[in-house]
Amino acid sequence: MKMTLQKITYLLGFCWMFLLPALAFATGSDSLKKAEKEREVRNYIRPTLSFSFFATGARPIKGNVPVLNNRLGDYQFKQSSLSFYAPLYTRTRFTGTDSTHVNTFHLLFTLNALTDRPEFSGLEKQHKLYKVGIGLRTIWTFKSKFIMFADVTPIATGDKYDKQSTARTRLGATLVFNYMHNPNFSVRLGVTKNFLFGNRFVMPMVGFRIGRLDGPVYFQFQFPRHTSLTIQPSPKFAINIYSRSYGGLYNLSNEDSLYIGNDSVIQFGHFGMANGVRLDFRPNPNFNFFLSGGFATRNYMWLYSYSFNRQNNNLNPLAPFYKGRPDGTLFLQAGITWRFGKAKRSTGNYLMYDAFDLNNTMDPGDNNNNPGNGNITPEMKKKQEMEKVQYKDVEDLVDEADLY
Amino acid sequence: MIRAINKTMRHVYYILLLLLIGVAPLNAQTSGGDKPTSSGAERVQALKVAFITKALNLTSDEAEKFWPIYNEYQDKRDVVRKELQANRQKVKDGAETLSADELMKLADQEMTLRQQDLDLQKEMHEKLKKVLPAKKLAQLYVAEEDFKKELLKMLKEDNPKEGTEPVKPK
Repeated sequence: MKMTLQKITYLLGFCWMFLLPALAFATGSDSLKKAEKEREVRNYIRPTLSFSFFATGARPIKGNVPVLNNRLGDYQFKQSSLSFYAPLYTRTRFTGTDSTHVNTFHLLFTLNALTDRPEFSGLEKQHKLYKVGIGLRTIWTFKSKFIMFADVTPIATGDKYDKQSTARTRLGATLVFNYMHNPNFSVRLGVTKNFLFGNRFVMPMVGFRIGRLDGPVYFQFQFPRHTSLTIQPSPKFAINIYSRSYGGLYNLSNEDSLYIGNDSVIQFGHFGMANGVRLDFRPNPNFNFFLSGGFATRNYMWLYSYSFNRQNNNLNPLAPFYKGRPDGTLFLQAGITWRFGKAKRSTGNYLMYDAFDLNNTMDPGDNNNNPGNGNITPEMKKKQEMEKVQYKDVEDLVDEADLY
Repeated sequence: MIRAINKTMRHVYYILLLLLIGVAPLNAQTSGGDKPTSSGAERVQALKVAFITKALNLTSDEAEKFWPIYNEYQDKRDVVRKELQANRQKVKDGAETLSADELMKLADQEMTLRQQDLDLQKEMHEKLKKVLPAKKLAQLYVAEEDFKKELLKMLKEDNPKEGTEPVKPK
């Protein structure tokens, strides 16, 4: 039954792959199509689907329980993440005493499916941790200077090793206030409940940006997520030198008796700082690809159990019965982001650029896998950048009188 | 309950992955001509922003208010322009087959849409009066025209065949 369902899913997927282009041709014939009443595009944020893969090298762990150090062996971490967001509702209003502020409100649907694979060379059977989250977020831009961002994502997590006993729901939430002083400088303040640091924490969010988001260089500090310097030598390429946090908290099956006790389920938390360089290639406004590599430092992993925690006065965050320090190692990350559908013009709208950046920084599922600011149109001034512009791109702008 | 959610979500993961692979070719086909998503249209937009910002010498404060208003009205005018194009296509396609009444209706519709476009421009003008000083507002309309001429010049220089397309009689 299970296999049949999977086969049907794949079959539908492949049908989709071939059928849709055919449908596009079938319905795309301009000469036969009846002209319909045009509708104004309402959304600024385009539906976005992104996939990323992250892997570290294998290395030994130095932990506080020597027996477990030997038992676990070398540690390698792999993660694949698929995330999606799409606008459900967008409202644009002119406000203020002179009706010159363009306020926008966006309600977005978010979805994230992720697998984390902590691989221990000493264990016979590896744990495959998964996390899926469906959330809602709102972005409100107002008075040409301010943005209020809120995200709530219920998350289901578990360990495929023993799905029945490890399945668990959690709630991630973020509230951020963004003030754009001018296009070159903005600050952020907020609070986030997340699991990025390998435990359940409610943390402050503090951040600032120097440099325009569409400019050649900008610097961002966004605690607890990342610090980065972005260089955009051309509209198609961006180089990002960064340090970002990665991690998570999962239920783990105790079938392999990592915790000596009656617990059938324990918890696994991990954290690290990925310091590296990311190269973004943006061939057109619909896609961006990235490749990133560097060195993972400040690596930690923890094992918790509820019974151990109870013995330690029910500590919150959880108290670990094992604390390991994996050595530093190289990491590699790659990703693809696809944006589709139409959107309203936002070129030159720096507050909207800040909203896009905020939305990308808080990726769906809170995994700190930034899909990239491919929806921000980079500054273009040079004539050679017009080379591939065709007449159809500008025909609306041309008037008979322009030709004399 | 949680198990049921997890099972469903696992399939959502696969479906999304297949969507990512599957719809990519479709997107490449349909977005080619869409103004907001094609590379060419994006370049034109970005260049226009740079051109007008420079021509008007907009301050940060002015730019923060100006571009959202300007973009909003350009989006509204896009809708009217597309309706105009559709209307003209109807005339082209039906010049020999449509009745005189129908053609007159289409001609009237042309005027209505042109008026709508002008109304939007006037509405935008009223809003921009509160954001830009008189000199910059007056310069805006000159800059818009100059930008079009600059574009045509560039198209002609970089791609002579494409650049001369508008003057060809059809």
